[in-house]
Amino acid sequence: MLIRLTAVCVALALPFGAIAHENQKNPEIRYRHAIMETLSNQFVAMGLILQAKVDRPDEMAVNARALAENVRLIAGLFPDNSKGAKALPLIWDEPEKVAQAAQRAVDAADALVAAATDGNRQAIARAFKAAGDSCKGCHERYKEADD
Amino acid sequence: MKTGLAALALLLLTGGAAPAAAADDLLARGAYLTAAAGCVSCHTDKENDGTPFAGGHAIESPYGIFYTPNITPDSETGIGGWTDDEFLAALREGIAPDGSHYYPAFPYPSYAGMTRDDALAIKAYLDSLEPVRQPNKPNELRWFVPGRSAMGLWKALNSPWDYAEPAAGLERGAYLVRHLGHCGECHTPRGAGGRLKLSQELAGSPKTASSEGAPAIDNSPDGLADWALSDIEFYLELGMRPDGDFSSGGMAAVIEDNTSQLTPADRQAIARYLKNLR
Repeated sequence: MLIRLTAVCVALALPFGAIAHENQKNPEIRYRHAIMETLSNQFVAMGLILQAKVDRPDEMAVNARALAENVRLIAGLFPDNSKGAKALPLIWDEPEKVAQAAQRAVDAADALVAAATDGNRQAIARAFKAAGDSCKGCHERYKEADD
Repeated sequence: MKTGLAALALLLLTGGAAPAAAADDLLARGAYLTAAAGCVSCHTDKENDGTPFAGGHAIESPYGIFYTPNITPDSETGIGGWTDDEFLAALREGIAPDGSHYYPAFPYPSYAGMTRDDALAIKAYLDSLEPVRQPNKPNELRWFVPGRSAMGLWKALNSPWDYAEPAAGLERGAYLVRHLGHCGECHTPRGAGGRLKLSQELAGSPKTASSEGAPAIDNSPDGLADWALSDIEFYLELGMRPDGDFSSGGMAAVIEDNTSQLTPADRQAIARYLKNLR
């Protein structure tokens, strides 16, 4: 009886495991995740500078420019052959809205570059938050929630 | 004599301005406390570009949808003309000027710990706003939810939250977290009847079909154990977690409208209080 139950559980779990594995093999999905990870790390780096945990104020603008470069890739990160993982199908159902949201992220990142170049901590903090919020706004609508 | 003259001159110079300055101070303090209490987050229908504090925001809950009321000083649809005592009763006891009870979707069990001075500073600030004529929307509650009259019994059994004294040196953080910020309303698990389980303060509430839940924000491994004080302060200021992710959902609004507006000292007080829980 126990063996039969285990077999049923394994059979039920298999398709999901297989899908997850397939997602990991899809180079487009891996590329998307790599770019998103890069963006996230860029925020971490700037956060450390903003908190003065590292004494690298001049590198704020360097990181902001890197963010602004990479954020321009977002609009092209969702080709039809990259459906799956945590990206919700809505992304492919409303491409115009996705493009607008991606542009908002670009605009926010450009504003952060301007603020970082200027060097005023308060203005940088505001622009930093706005850039982060622009990312989160997309994630809320288009990304499956984390567990 | 010289001192006396100087004092007289100072009195003459400032005598007319002092009351105005005091009023400005009261309004500034009220604005700060209104932000700390998070009033605008709930009392603004941001989804439909509503006017701040004019209400209409839908709070979805296991009990149905509560629509927040207008708290601008409009005398017919808002809180215009309320006396100090009426405002205090509403804010800290959940009693409307007509004597009826509010549902605890309005977090008066938390606000009950707010000082009279702070509550009246908030009132002074709200009274200074432009009145907005906007009738309140009726709630859309589920069939099993009793009428407001039953809330009197609910309060007798449950409210206000009976917190233990905070540890020495953490009083300000406790006040901000427990009362003004009313963090426990989302982050503390609830027992029967919706009473907060204060022995598990800020230990998180589970996600359910009708509630998005809220994570633990005490100092447990599931909560903020891995966060430094400065990580918490930074999160409360700008919404970024140590891993680079940003706040979302209801917490994004809390950061935008509430914690980002606080002084660094108050954010630090909150962080110290949270790190001391558990």
